[in-house]
Order: sequence, then structure tokens, then C-alpha cells
Amino acid sequence: MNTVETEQHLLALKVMRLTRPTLVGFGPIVTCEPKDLPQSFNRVVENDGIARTCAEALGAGQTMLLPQSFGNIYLGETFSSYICVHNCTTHPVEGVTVKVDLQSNTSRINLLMHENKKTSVVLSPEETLDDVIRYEVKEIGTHILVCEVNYTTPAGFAQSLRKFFKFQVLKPLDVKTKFYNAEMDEIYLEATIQNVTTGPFCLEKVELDSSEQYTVTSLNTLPNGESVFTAKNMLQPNNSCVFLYCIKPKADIAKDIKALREANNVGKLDIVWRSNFGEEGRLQTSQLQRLPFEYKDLRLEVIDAENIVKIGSIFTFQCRVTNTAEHAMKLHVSLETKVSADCAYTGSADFLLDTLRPGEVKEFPLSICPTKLGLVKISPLLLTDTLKNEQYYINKVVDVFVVDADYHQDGTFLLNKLIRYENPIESLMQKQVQLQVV
Amino acid sequence: MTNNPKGLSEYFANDPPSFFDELTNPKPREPQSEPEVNKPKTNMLASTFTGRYQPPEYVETADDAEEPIKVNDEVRNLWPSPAEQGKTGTGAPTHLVMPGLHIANDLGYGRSGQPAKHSPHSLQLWFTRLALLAKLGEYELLQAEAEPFGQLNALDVFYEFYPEMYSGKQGSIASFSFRLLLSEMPIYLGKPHLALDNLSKLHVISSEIKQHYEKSRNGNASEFWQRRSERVLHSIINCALMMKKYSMIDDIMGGMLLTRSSLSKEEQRSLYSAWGRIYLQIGDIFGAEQKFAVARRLREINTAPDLRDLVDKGLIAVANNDFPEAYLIFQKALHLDSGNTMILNNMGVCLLYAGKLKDAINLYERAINLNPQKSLNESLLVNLSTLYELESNNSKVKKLNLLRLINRFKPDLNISVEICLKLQATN
Repeated sequence: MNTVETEQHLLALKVMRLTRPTLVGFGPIVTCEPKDLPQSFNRVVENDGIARTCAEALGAGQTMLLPQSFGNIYLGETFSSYICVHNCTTHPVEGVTVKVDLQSNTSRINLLMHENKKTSVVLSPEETLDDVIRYEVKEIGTHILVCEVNYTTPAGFAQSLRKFFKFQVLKPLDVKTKFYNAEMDEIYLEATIQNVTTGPFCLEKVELDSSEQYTVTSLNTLPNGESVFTAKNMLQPNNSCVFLYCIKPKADIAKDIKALREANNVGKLDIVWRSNFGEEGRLQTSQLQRLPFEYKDLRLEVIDAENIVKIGSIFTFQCRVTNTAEHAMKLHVSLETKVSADCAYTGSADFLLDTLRPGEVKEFPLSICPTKLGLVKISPLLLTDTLKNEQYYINKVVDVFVVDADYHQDGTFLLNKLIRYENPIESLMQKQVQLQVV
Repeated sequence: MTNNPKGLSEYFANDPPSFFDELTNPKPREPQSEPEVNKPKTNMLASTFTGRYQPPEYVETADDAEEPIKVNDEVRNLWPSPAEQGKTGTGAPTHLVMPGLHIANDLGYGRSGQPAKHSPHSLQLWFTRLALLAKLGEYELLQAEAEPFGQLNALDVFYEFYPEMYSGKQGSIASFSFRLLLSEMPIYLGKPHLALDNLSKLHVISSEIKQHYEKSRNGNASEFWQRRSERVLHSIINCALMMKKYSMIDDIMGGMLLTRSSLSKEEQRSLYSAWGRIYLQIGDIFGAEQKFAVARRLREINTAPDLRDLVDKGLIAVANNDFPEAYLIFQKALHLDSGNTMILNNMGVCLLYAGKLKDAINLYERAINLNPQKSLNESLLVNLSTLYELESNNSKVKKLNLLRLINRFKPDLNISVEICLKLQATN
């Protein structure tokens, strides 16, 4: 804080930023064994009140120390400060009022002291007028805390004392998002949150608040309810954490392809973090826009498929094709299998579907037999519109995880739905997201 | 090794009475209550020194009841000597040159700067001095004086090096605590990564010794070394705290410290509570609450919350920004242990955040008046000086008053008075 001192006044104005206290122990921890010295060093430890048994040498103290510097302040955190006006004369000073404003680049906010008290007071000698002011900072950049004390001198002159404290509000986190359009109208969102502060913090809450058209399932917990992240959501400076969400359009919208095309807002990310001794900050992203569904003339969904199959068994999956074009189609379905050692499955299909009028849906099953272990990608599927003689190549139809014949599925092996990426390169592009205070 | 025992005896016979003799002198006791004072003493006490040569002896505690596990000297002193590790290639080991001035004069009697040999007694004195320097926060001096000892890996701190003096005796003359102090020293100098290296080596060796005794089925000795290696882990955690390596702390806490089956409930509670406080520091309130809950559950069933529970609870309230609530909890804790400085200190902090500056100052001043010796500690002084500065322009006068009290009751603060009283401040 930069202070601008003014001339001698009857009152003294003091300001101290209240960041969280720090926890300290009692001085350097030097221990010895009873045989080492005639007298133990450990007596000092008794001052700490609690007989520290085996943790006596741990530096995690219980004593709180008041903040000794202004520290950093980040967007979304609460700025709190102690304001104290002291009468340093030997006579009472009348008509004392304190006005505290926080000036940012775009706004000036008045912060109230003693909200319930009357506006002007008389300060007796050595008496203080003091309180804590709090404000959640909503803007990045330079802020100035303007403190103004008005009072009346014994001679009856109005006097004013002002102090300015300038500080910078910094950006705490970087949020980047990636969207994937998957089968069955599902959208997957990957949100990468990076700690750009100077110290570690803990992400207490990262939630995607869905918009009206969508429902959201968070995929960041294990089946037993624990977080997928180890022990805690702690983030060291510059480290990032990736959160995954599955977003589905609500039933009424999913049916209506037009409405689905228009529903671009999927929701906002709501982030709450805590740093040093529980100092809290919260931010929200702007509305996240999903990638447009790129159905040109037809849309292929895999509506039912196993996630895991055993090797040697038949893998059958149910496909649904929708005619999203303006004309009727008669589709020829052809699943080709390359005859090569690399191909992880055998089986092919070659059949003709009935005529599909615009907007009509047809379902059909496809079967293959996996011959290799691991993740098997079934591709390509060739759909040919025999009426217009147009070919549609579906490069990624479905993936299946092939396991050995003695495999037993347990609770931890809960794989998500199968994902088909339509435009891999475009959809992999990360998007920087704007942050705002809620 | 050209020195003969006679030369050595001369060296010690010339020892004048020193400051350390008083320090190592056990408190005078009533003969009827403590019959063992009549036993022949081997201490190097100035009063018993009659001019006749007395072998330099290690000053032992008269009362060794506080030692949790009793082991013999062989177990206590076991340490791989550099000769065993094949480090003899460097030729004859260098005799240490006594550093410093005061103690060297006492020990060497005008031979400061000359080669000297180690004895259990001399190393005990050195350890005492260096440990006291650490306690007093005299880190620069500590570093300078500890430098010749290195990590106590020279041959001449082992009994094997002096066969003529300690025939057949083996192991380290320097105590384990001395090794630990030297390993930890870089922490005080703001170089925790160096300390981490030292401590890791120390931990490896102590674990190996523990395993050695485990194999030879010496349960007592292996337990003894287990505790030593755990003590090293505590210091490693302190390094990790400074370096903000919190996942390392988690690994050590959960994977190593809390796995020993012989841990008492109280020991477990204190570990879990410390673990929770570490979580609090990084803002993981949920994680901290979990650890505190474990500590709470380990308390005897049907007993009232004790001091530890209340302090844990109070700190959680602070983390939740509920300072009035935290104040009430600390107040409850104070009923269990009135005059506890740590709790009074925390109550004052809560008062300030609740907008009660004057009350906070009064609380601290009352605490100092009631028990100046205990209350005039570093953190309370820093806090009170901070409050004085916030209160008015007259903080200088009030700090001067504190300085008088410190001078009278607490001359040996481990942080300099300038920092404790914030004397650099502009008002």
C-alpha cells in the first residue's frame, strides 16, 4: 500500500489489510534424546500448551500470527481491512465521520463502517473509532482505497484527513475448455483450471451449472463417491487440473433437431477455491458455447453398445441413422474389414435399408468379432445414398474395449459412454474462457 | 595417530572450570530424597575437580527414567563409520580445528586453532553449544561453528579411531541428535532443499540400522531406531512445509509415520491433528476436518473434548471466517488450561478480525501482566506490536514499555527484538 501522508491532524487514521492469519510454531525445533544432555531442550515446548507427544518435532504450529504484509489480492476474493481512527489529542474531538471508498478503473464503491451506528461521533482522548470493512473484488487491475475522516476542531473549523492505499487485483486462475460432441447427443466438456497465483490453493468446488436446455453429469468422482483426484484438490502454482462433464440435452430438446441446433449455451462453470488458511475466492465463467452439431445430411448414432467385450465373442451394437437432409434417401450400409494383420476385428456387413424420408429414423444392428486385446476402433462405415449416389464415410463408428476371456468386471471399471469424435481437429481446439465474479 | 594417551590427559588436566560445568551440573538435591548423589560421580564438575587427572567423561542424566526405550550404548552409538563405507581413500582423517572462540578457549585452553581430538565429552559440549545457538536463533554463528564438523562423517568422531582410548568400543561418539541438528541446520538458513538431502541420507541409514536389528530379532533396538528414523521424518516434513511440497507430506504422514503399530492413541491424535493443520494452511478445510475427526475419534470414549479438540475446532472456525465463533471456542479451551499463552494469543487475533481492536490489546496486556515469563513470547509480541501500530501513533511508547518487560523477564527470545517489536516500522 502506498500512503500519502498529510499535515498534522488531531486524529490519526490507521489502515491494515486483514489477510488470513498464519499458523506458526514456537521457534526453531531442536530436540535431543534424554541421554544426550543433562537437561532436555524440550521444556520450551510446554509453552505451546498441548503436550506434543510424538508430533513434537512437527512444525505445524497452532499459534496464529497477524498478517505482516499487504500480500496479494485476487479477483473473486474478499478484500477486508481494519480502519482505525484514533484521537491523539488530550481533548475530545467532535463531529467525526469516516468515509471509505474503493475506487477501481470503472467504479467507485462506498464501504460502510458500523452500519448500525449514527453518522457522526465524538471521540474522547485516546478513544478510537474502528471497524472492519469487507468487499469482494470484482475487477482486475488497480484499485485505490480512499479513506476520508472529517471532524470539527475545537475552534469549530471543519477538517478533513484523507489517505489513499493503492493495490493491484490479480488474476487467480486460467480456465480453458474443450468440447467433444459424442453419440446420442451427448457433449463432453473438459475444463482445465490452472492456478496462476503465487501460492498453492485448493479447489473446493468446480461445478458446471447447466443452462435450461441441458442436464449435466459431473464425471469427477469415483463410484465410491471420492474425487478422482488424489487426496485433495490442491493445486500448486502453475499446475492445472482437468475436470470432465457430460452434458445432455433435455428430452424435449433432444427430439427437436432444430431446437438442438439453436441451444448453444450449455452452462457456466462455478469455481470456489480456498488458499492460505481458508481465504476464499469464487468466480464464474461466462456462458460456455458448445460446438455446433455438424449433421449435414444424415446423422449416425450408436444407441446401444457394450463398453467391454471378451475376445472371441461377438460384439453387436445398435445403430440409428437419421435423415437430416431435405430429401428422401435409400441407404446402403457397408462395413468393410480390411484384410490385414493390423485389423483388430473381423466381420463385415453389406445391406440396404428401406427408404428414409426427411427426418425419419432407422435402426439396425451391426456385429463384429474382435481379434485383438485393447481398445478396438470400429471404422470405417460407408453409407451410400443410392438415390443420389452420395457416399458418407463415418470414420469413427464406435470403440470397444476388448479384454481377455478370464476378465471379471469390477466396480472400478466403470467406463463412460463410447465417444465418436466428428471433427477431431476442430473440436480439440481449446478455448480461453472469460471469468467474472458472481 | 601419533598422540598418546598421556598427551591427551595433559590436555584435559589443564581444563579450567568453565561456564559449561555449571550448565551440566545437575540441580542440587536434598541428600535424603535423592540417595544416588552419594554414589561416586564421574562428572567433570568444577567442584569435584581436585587436580588429579580424571578421564574426560560424558555427562549423563542422573535420571534416565524419561527414556521410553532403554537400550545399551552399543545400540545407541551404532553408525556406519566412514572406514566401513570404504571412504578411507582420502588418506588420514583430518583432525578438527576447533572453531569459535569461547568454547575453544575453554576446551583447548589457549590452543584455539590447533588440532584437537574428540571425546564423548567434547562432542557433547559442542552439541550443547550448537543446539543452544539454534534455539537462540543465532543461525549465522551456528553455521560458522558447525562448518568444521561437516555431517560428522570424519573418522575421528568414531570410537574405532581411538583404539588406545576406548579399546574395543565401536560406533559414533557424536550423538544422533548432533547428526540431526547438523542435517537440519540448512532449514534455519533458508535452504530446506539442502537439509532435505542431508535428512534423506540420515533416514536411509537409520532405517537400515533398524532393519539390521529387526533381522537379528532385537526388538527393543529396532524399536529404538524406528523412533529415530521417525524423528528424521518429522524434520523432513518440516522441510517439505517450507518447500510447500504438500503431497510429500501426505505420503510421509499416511504412508510412514502413522503405520507403526506401537503408536499410542495420544501419539496418533497429535499426528492427525498436525496433519489437519497442514491441510488448513493450504485451504483444504474439508481435508482438515477429516483429519481432526480422526483425532477426535481416537480420544477416550465418553470424555469431554480436550484442549486439542477445542483448538482444532477453533482453527476450523477461523478458516471458515467465523472469528466470533472461533473466539468462543478458544475461550472454552482457556477454561481447560487458564493462562495458556497460545490460546490467549489466538483469542486476541480473533478479537481483531471481529473488529474489537481495543479488546484484543487489553487481552494481551492482561496476559502479560498475569504471566510475563510465559506470555512474552515471539508471536504474542509480534501480534501486540502490530495492534499497537494499528491503534495509534503512540506505538513507540508502548513498544518501549514492552522492551523493558522483555529485558526483565525474557532476555533470550529466539527472534531478534527488532523483529518481535517491529522496531523498523515507521511509526
